[in-house]
Amino acid sequence: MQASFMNRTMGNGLAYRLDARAKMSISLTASLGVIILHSPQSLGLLLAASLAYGLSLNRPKPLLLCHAFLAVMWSVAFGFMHLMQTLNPNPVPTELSRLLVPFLRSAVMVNVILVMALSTRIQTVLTTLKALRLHRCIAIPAAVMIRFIPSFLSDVRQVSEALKTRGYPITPRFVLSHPLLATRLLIVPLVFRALRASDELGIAAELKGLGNLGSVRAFRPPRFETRDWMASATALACIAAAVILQVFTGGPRGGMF
Amino acid sequence: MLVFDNVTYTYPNAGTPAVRDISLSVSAGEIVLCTGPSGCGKSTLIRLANGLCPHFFRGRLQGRTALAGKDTVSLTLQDISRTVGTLFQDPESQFFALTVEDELAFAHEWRGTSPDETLTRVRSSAASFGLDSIMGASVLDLSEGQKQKVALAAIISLDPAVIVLDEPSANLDPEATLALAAELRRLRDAGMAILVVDHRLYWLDGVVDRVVVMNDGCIVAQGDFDLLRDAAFREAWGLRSDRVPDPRTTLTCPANDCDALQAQGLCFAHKDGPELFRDASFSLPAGVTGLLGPNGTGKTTLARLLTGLNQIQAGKLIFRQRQMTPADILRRSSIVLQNTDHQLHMHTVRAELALAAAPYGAESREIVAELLNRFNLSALAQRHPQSLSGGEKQRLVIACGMAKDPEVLILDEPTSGLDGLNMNLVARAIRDAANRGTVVLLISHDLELLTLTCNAALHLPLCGTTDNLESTCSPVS
Repeated sequence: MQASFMNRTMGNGLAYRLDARAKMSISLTASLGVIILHSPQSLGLLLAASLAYGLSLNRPKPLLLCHAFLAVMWSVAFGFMHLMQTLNPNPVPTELSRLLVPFLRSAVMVNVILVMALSTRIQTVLTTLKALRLHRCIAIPAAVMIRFIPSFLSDVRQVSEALKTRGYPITPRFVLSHPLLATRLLIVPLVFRALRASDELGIAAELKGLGNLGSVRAFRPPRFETRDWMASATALACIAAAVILQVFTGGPRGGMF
Repeated sequence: MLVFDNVTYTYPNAGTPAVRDISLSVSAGEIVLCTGPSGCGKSTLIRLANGLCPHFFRGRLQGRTALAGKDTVSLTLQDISRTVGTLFQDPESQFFALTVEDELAFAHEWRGTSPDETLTRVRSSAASFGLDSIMGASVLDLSEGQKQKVALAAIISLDPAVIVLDEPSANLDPEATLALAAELRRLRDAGMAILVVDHRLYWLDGVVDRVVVMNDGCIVAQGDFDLLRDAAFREAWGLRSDRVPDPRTTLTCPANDCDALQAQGLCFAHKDGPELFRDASFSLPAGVTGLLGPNGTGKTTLARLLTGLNQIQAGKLIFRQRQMTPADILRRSSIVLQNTDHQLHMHTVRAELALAAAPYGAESREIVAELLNRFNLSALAQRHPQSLSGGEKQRLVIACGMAKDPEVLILDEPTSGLDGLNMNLVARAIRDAANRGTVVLLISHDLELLTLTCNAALHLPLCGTTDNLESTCSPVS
């Protein structure tokens, strides 16, 4: 039963060589950073660093897709703020920087989470969560959430291709000229796929006997090497640099904090 | 080993039971085939065997399902999964890890198997299913046939006492299907209890010990395989043929001078992968041309290249004597891909067809009515497309593909989960399109469909592809 002469592998960038614990610590550091930081300049620095980290996946398309989605969301928010200002006699603040901050925070997290989701063995994630002594009620849903991301991105690609074959390519022009139809064409299959994928992952998890973290024995035990220490230290250094930048520039406070 | 004792099961919020009064047993060292028309309750039977009903889906269970003498209700899903290995109709739905190797190892790791033992089992199952070359590949990037092999290898490596297989041949090429039949015989001889649910029957002749035919949630007939020899019986229950000739040996490559669609000097390689096509040339005439070849040889990729879903790296396409881009071809084409969920967008079946027929303006209403009728979807016209069964969705996406009366129609495994009645219905629709002058490219391992529809066939790997197997097709000069 010869399967194929194809040999496409998951990838070979830095992201794939890092240990899951290093990627988790980078994600944790980044999440602390986006809570502490509030100036657009320092968050911009963090975004640039996280983007460089994200590009080590050698998969620019998913990154581009997620950032495009955030840009659309930001544009919608900005548009509605302007609309409110037009309709509301009491002026509401619509500075770019105030609206930018929540989206910068999201973009930083998207970059680090994508690296983890697209380049890490799901078993290693589970083993690492086990090593952190997290209860299975937290560890298993966390692993399922991380596993859901590549399935969702695959669904986005397939829905977009299906639309192209039906003569409805999701281009900016099409979205602007037929916003309702574009929303339906894109959102409906994605919502149903997401629901089904979560169900299917639940079933797959049950039938593979997920549940007892204590019995897991990884056949490739994770190893924390020099490059993992270096990557974690670099993440900390980036946060420190961003904090210093915020202290010295004292940029405006934006977003929710 | 596996016993259904007067089982009636009703899904939550369902008015009627999905299966009723099922009494059936599968002993160790026995293979039982369960078949019947779409929606007859076969998949529910599998969910009862592996405990998903009622442990995961909840619902109401009457009667008793037992595994090795123990009631499945009293066991946990973890316990059941140690005894029962399940292959789903859509193998991707049972993957949890991201690479082939990880998927094969995953359940072993959760059972606390030693790393050395896990590695041995992973290597052994990969070797027996020919997966060695794709161990590092993402499971999401595999062809459907490859996914099925990975899922089967993962199950068999666990050495369960019972395996239940839902449409195991749906995406396998005929050679892989025969190899699966041999593997099932070996497992049966080793004492495994095997329940196979399938529409395709021919490959199980001489393999199964008993046949169970279901309809409307009930068992309507039981016996040995000879039960299926009666054509009137098969027709009455919408079953497929018990014997199927292999048309691949008689289907020849279309002439290269045909004036429909020609590809010349195509080159393509996946990113970071070896070349899949190098200087490949072929012609597709009006009529039905089968695109044949083992799993993973690039059949779907070739269809994607013709329509621009993957970018041709070199070569040209000529349609009716004019050079065209893949985008030009796509405008004149309909391509129906395998995963139907991604291709359904609207709130009713009628609206889905109306969207596909929209270019016809005022005439679209008549076209929709005709398609509903032709594909036996009239009763479902007001249903939400995503609420349909797998077979119904398949018919709907094919109907949508035919709605714009394309000049080129590409169908990727259109009958993989269809019963005999619906397979014949789709075959008729394909023949009708071909008779109107449509260039139909049919990617299928379904020998019955190929027999009913094809005039010619392209056999992959083509001459000029990077594999060195002998080609049946000569290059365009």
